[in-house]
Amino acid sequence: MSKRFFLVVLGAIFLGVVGINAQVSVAYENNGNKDMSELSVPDKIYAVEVAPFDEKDLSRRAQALGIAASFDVKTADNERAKYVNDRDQVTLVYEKQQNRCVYSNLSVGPMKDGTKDDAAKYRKAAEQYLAAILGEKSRNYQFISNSYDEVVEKDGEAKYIAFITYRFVPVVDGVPVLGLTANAKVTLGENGKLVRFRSNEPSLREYGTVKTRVNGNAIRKVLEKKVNSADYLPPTQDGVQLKADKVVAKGWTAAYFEIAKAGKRLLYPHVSVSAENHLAANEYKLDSIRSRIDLSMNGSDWPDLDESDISKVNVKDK
Amino acid sequence: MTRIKFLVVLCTLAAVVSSTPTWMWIGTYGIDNYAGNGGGGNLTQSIAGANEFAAAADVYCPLAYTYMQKTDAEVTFAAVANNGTREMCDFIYFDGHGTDGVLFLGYGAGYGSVNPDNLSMGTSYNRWAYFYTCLTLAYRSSIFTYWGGAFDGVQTILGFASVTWAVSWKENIHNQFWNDWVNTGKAMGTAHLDACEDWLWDYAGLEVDPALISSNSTHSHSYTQATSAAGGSPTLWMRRICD
Repeated sequence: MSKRFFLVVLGAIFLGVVGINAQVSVAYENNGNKDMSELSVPDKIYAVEVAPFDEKDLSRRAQALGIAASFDVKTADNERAKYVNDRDQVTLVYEKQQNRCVYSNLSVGPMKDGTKDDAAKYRKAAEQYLAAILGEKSRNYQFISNSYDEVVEKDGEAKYIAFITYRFVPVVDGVPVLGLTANAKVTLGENGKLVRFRSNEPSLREYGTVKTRVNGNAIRKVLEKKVNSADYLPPTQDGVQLKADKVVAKGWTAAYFEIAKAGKRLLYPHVSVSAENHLAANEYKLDSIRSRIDLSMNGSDWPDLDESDISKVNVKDK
Repeated sequence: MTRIKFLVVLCTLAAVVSSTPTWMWIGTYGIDNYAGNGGGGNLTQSIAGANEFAAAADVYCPLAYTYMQKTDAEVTFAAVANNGTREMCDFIYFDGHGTDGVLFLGYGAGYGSVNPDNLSMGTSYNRWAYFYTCLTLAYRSSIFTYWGGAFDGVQTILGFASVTWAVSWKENIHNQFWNDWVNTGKAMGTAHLDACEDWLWDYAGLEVDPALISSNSTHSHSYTQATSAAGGSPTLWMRRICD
């Protein structure tokens, strides 16, 4: 065997081993957030429960929206309480078991030629609507992000923003509640008028505590483990398993996020990482895709904290 | 009871029945076994997704009635393209592969891709469609010229402008969509955009751009409003969630 051939074979073996064991690297872009080593994560766990239905509060909300007197029909059963005004295409619904409130006004049209810059322009209006609808409770909510309804009406014409939605979440023990558990969304249309409001407003009951370890090294270890796990991104609807070459952690925050445990809905402390996944070659020719990675302060997620420790020592069911 | 009284009762019953709102017939397509359709990459959640869509309609919409459920090898080009059986359905749902502007049924003879001209929806009863596929409603510069052939009376086509995800909990998306459209007064398109935003982004943290093409500028058709939208001016809506 010539030396050159030997080197080629050795190189191929090396590349093969590297390929098989390739790990996705995680790069960190702090974006002005606190360093992860300084993250303060709360220790409490909350049980998520159905809040008692408050008919008076729903009535107050209808009045706050200036629409109480205009409703044609008000119905209530075990599922929902509902105000409807067919003439003005306005509906206010409270779904009792889900603690969901949905207000919809189809008579408010889209913004004309709206742009993303309008999000800042109407932010105050969105906060005022939130305060009017949620009352005192709104003081405990913080803005987290916008989404935009982008519209095209004719070939060759530019896209424009028709509606802007402002997402607000409650703050518990100083950190936001992420996910679908509890939130409020305000959608504005033409001239910043309220088109839709929707919220999830369950009760939270203190359930126990969990010992947390959140130094920077632990977070990095868990994040690396997560992005290299097989189920980090689910397959696309075409069955394609998108593979990231590199994951960039764009920002992170301590947060509450709901998990199911022992048949209960529990709000657990988490570290939530906003990730940009730079993708390997794929049939969609996508360069990147964004995701949120929620690292639970749960024994199974953390390398040096096992489940039995939490359940026996740290979690106390009240 | 005399014969005359019996006839009066019968006529009264007939009058009541004739004033009952039109049923909303649901038709679904789901393909998991693409190998059986000549290849294309098997899926695991599509038939379940189609069944869950029909089940959610049944739970939340008093008018819904499942008329057609086709799976795997039954989902041929002829079964998806304009035809009398499909056109009996007010609302059709397709769960499987999609690429830019088309539905993909498999590489085998009799399957292939279905484009808007092939779809030609609404010539009889089709009023709404939902494509749980990647990229079928992806933005393109002449999107209305391209999609014009599909709008032969159909009011709204729901789908995605981006890739979407094969999750095992699509029923959550479908339940919220049907409940919101029927019970909370949301416009149909908004119910779709909100359900996808809530579950795929808020719940799962996955980037996605749900979209719809509607025959009017408000996509506010009521579930009882099963009228033809022929002659409308379509509008494309996309929800940008991660910006």
